[in-house]
Parts: sequence; C-alpha cells; structure tokens
Amino acid sequence: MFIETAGPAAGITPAGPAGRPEPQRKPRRALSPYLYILPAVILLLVWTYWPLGQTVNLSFNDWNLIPTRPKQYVDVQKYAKVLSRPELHQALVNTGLYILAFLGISVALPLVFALLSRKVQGKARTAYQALIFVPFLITPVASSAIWRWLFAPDGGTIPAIAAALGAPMGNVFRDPGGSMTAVIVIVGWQMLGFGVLVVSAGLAGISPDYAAAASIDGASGTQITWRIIIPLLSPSLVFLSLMTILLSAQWTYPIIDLVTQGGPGNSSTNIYYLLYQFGFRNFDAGLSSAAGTLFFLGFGLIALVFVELSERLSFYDN
Amino acid sequence: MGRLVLNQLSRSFKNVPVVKNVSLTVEDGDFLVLLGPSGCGKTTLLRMIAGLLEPTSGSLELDGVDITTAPSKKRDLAMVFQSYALYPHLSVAKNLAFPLKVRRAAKQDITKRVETVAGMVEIGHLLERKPKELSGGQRQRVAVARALVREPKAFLMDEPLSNLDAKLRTATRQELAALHQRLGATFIYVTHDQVEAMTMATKIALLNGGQLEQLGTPEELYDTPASVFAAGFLGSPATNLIDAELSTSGGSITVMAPSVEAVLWTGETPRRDVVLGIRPEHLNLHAAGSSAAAPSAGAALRGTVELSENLGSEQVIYCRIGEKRVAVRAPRNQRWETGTAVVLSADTPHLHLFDRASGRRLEWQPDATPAHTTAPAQPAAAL
Repeated sequence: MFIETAGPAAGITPAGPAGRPEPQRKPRRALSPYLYILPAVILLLVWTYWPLGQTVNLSFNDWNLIPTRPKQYVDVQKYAKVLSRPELHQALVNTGLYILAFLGISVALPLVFALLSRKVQGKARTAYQALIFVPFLITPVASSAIWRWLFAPDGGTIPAIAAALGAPMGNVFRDPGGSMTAVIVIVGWQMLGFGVLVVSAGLAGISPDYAAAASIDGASGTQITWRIIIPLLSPSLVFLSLMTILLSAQWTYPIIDLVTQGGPGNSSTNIYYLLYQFGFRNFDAGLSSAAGTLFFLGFGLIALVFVELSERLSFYDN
Repeated sequence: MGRLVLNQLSRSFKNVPVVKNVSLTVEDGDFLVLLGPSGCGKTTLLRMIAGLLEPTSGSLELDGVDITTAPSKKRDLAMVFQSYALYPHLSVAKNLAFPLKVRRAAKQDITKRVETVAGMVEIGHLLERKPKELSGGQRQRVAVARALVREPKAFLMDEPLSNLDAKLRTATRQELAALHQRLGATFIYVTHDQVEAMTMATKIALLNGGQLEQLGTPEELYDTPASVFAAGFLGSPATNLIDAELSTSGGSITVMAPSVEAVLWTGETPRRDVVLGIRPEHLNLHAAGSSAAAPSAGAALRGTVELSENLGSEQVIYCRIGEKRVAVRAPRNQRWETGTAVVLSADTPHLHLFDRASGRRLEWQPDATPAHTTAPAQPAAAL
C-alpha cells in the first residue's frame, strides 16, 4: 500500500495579521502621504494653476489693467482679434526660426562638441567642458551688455573685424536682417554649454562595452558613432530637443527685451515678447491672455507629441 | 585557423602592473580557460587579446601575424561580454546581423547566416524582440549567436555565464562545450569559476597576481598543482595545506608537523621547510586506536572531529589537527560525532609537497638528483 506523503505542515500560522497584529491605522497616519505632497501642491496651485485659470478668465474679458476699471466680458472677441493681428504671424514665424536655429546650436552642435571632447582625456576634458558651460551661468543682463559692446557700430570688436575682412556691418540691432541673428548668437553662446553638458552626461551613461563589442564586431569609429552611440544617446537628444522647442521663446525673451525690444519693426520679436507687449505696453490684458492661452495649448500639444515620441525613440541602456 | 601566441605580455595601469610577462600558446581548436581569482588580470589579458587594451610590453601573434598593435576590428576575433553588450536599440535579428552588416556582406547572405546561427542556439523565435524583452538566459544565447555569426579565428568569452542562475549555468556550460567540439574553433574563456574551467577547458591558464601560475590540462592542474596557490585554488573544499618540515629519518624521507607524520620514499634529503598538500578526497578517516589507524607508509594526521557538513551526496568532516582545520570527504553512511579522536591517513602518491619559501611544487626523483622544484620560472632547487 502506498501512503502519499503530506506537504509541509500547514498548521504554522503564516506571518501576517494573526502573527503580528497590524497596528490600528490612525487617521493621522492615513493623512501623512497627502501632507508630504501638500507643499508642492500648494506651490503649484498658487504659482501655476491659479494664474493659468486667471489668464483663461482674462482672455474672455476686456480690461486695461487699471484696478478701478471693471472687466468687461467680451466672449471670444479677443481670440478673433489676436488671430487676425499681423504681429502674431510675424512672432510665430520668428519663434519658429529661433527654434530651428537653437535646434542647431543647442542640440546638433553640442552633439558634435561632446563627441569630439571624448578624444580629450582626463582633467583637460573637464576643463574644456567647464569653459563651454560657464556662459550658461552668466545672467542675460550681463551678457547682453557685453555683447552690445562687442556689436557696437563704432569701436565694437565684431564690426571692426568685419570691416577688416571687407564686409562692413552697421548697427546689427537696428538692421531688420541682422537683429534676429544677433539675438541667436547671444542666446546660442549661452545655451551651447547647457547642451554640451546634457549630451556629455548622456554619453557618460552609455556602457563602453557597446563600443568595444562593435569594434570587435568589425565596425569602424564612424560606424560605431552613427550606428551605436547616437541611437543610444536618443533619450538625451529627445530631451534637449523638447527643451529647445518649448523654451526657445523663453531663452530669447530677456535678450530681445534688453538688446532689440523686438525691433526693428518686429523683425526680432517672438511670441512671449509679443505677449508682454500686448499686456504691458498696450495694456490690453484680454488680448495678451488670449494669445497666452493659445500658446499654452499649442505647446501642450507639442509636449504630448514629444512624450509619445520619446517613448518610441528612447532605447534605455539596461 | 586560430593559433595565438602571447609573448611576455604585460600591462600596467598608472604604473601598477596588472598583467606581468605572460607567455603562452593557444593551439588551433584549443578551449583555453583563463582562470583566477578577482583582480588576477585575466580580463585585462583577454582585453589585450581582443585589442581593446594595448599591452605595455610584449607581443601577440595570431596565425603567425603580429597583431600587437592591430585595432580590434582588424583582428578577426569575436567576443562575448560579461554584460553581453547587446545593442539595446536593435532587435535580436539586427544585433546578429551587425557584424556582417558593418563588413558590408550581401543582404541575402546576412539573412541566411542570421537564421542559421539563431537555429544553432535555438533563438529563432526571438529574432524580432528587443534585448530588454529577453530573459538573462536568452540574452546570453543572443550574445553567443552574435559571436558565431561570422567565422572568426577565435572566440573570446569574458565570464559569459556569471549572470545566469545555477541550473541554467550548468546547462549552458554543457552547450558551450558541445559547441566548441562541433565548431572545432579556438575558444579563450575567462572565468573565476573552477567548475567551468574543469568541465569545459582543454587547457587552463591559472593566473595569480597578474602572473601565469600554471598552464596545463584540467587533469594536470588538479592532479599535479604546480604551486601552493594552484593547490589551494582548484578543488572544493580546497586542498588541505599544512606547514611541515621535510627531513630524513631511518633512511626514509619524512614529513613532520604537529600531529602529522608522513614516511615517504627511501632516500636522503637535507632538512627543508615545506607545505604539505592533501586533497580532502584522498584522506581516510579512522577512529583512533583502530588497526587501520597506524599506516606503515604515507601520511597520518591525528586529531579530533570538529564539524561535519552534509552535502547530500556525501559529507565533509572537518577535523582539528594541531593548529589546523583539515577537511575530509566521507561517505554519508559514516557517523562521526564531534569530539571523536580520529586518525586521517593518505597514501604517498596523493601527497603534494611545496617549497614553503617559493611556493613551488617539489617532485621526488629517486635517481641522481633526489628532488627538484618543477617551477618553470624558478631555478631548480635540489633537496
């Protein structure tokens, strides 16, 4: 006769409610996770979502920012008005151009710089990266002042060099063809270091085994860069591109205000500078808010597309 | 073909020598295992062979061609990394195709070859997946397949099984050994696992502190360890190593240590400090006072039982012999209570003697020179 052997004794009480009585959940303990996130929630509500709500509210009203004057509800009139303004179209085109320029200066160029700086070893590389990064730490006001001297039509270094090379330039900030370029040069000079920093950090996170494996597999240096390194850098590159697209208008705003005030003739303005002009130069809070709400929606859509894109493009090195 | 000659190969990092003057020859079709503890320089040596590190001095030859300074892509080798280094952005099929693609092979040849090797390591159903969607064992197979996709002169493997669980490791070990037999290609395999080395290698290069400690077949390394280090590294539990004194007594060579005495061969030798090595499986346990407890030849170790470990198939009895703890393998059906007085005996052919100063093996030669060290690098020292 066979007797089937029993499994491990089932009588042992599993550790759990009976083994160790769970302490009664006090209401204060249940609250604590919410208390932890409360400061952040309050800050977000006060500084982001409350003003956002107010902006949307203002965009349906006519108001000249004078506290004693009542707001007047005008439905979607302000949206219709802002969409028909030629300044808006000019500002949108300019913003697009700024974004394109900075995709070059703060994404493509940093990629080249970071890849090249891998050839530099040890402390020299740190020093090189620090030198590139320093302009990012200089306040826009200070850098604007310095670049204004450099571009000064009489005695500025850059016009002097241009003249010596046989291409005399006038006052770039007053030249409709040159003012935007000047803003791009100044902001690009500041943002390049940021891009190099992000790409270098991305490169440092890629295991050297991939390049080693590829080289044993027979790939040349160029093939390794294009087929292995750059695809693996895609999370950093997607992040930088998203930052550039969303923040180019913000990066250029202080320089535009300090150097060209959007001129001459709106040639160097961008959408954020336009918002400022609508609201605080023309005192049309409704118009400014309507434009702001539209840009918020537009950039929100772009951000969504990028989040989806980064999911598809990013190959995490695990 | 894949005959590799390492000649006085050395490598230092910031003046710290990591590999010191390693010379060895890997014949075509050899499965050479570079074995040693962590930090012994085995991976550094492999990376020099792969061309990922330049040697500080020495030279490397592959099939008669000096490749010391050749870049890795020109060496025609394939390597499996410890991390597998599967390109995370490429599917398994594209990972396998990569070595052929960068060599600009014809498209239909690539497809055919990828399918063949995927079949060889049974990953045909995974070709469209990305590496992150694979288990550890599957990744390991893909890494091996990527090495197989070309027909390189030699396969280099850097601890390819270290990330697998014990069961999978055993299975994969057997598959790799079978693969080596089928391909007949040269394999150079780095591991710190002596079981992998013993089971797969046709030749083992045992490294210690950047130096080649012993080169030979697994049997040679196990049966005639060339040094105290080799004796202690291979085998589990490790060889029992006891400091002893070699001398002559009554016309016989004897080895004495506290609670240890061994009568070896007839002959004479000057007194000498040695290390006596005995493998746990070569010791027999007897109760003190039993008739078998006083062997006329070989070694006798007297002590008490301290601990026994049940390994399932057998047990390991640890005995206190003088200052030392000595391990003995014993069948499960014997019962040894802690504290029992015992005598451990071993036959003369199973005793290993090493010079205590140099650590090198001493061989007994009954003729003209009674004994000499077998150290290739050490000058022969007569007893």
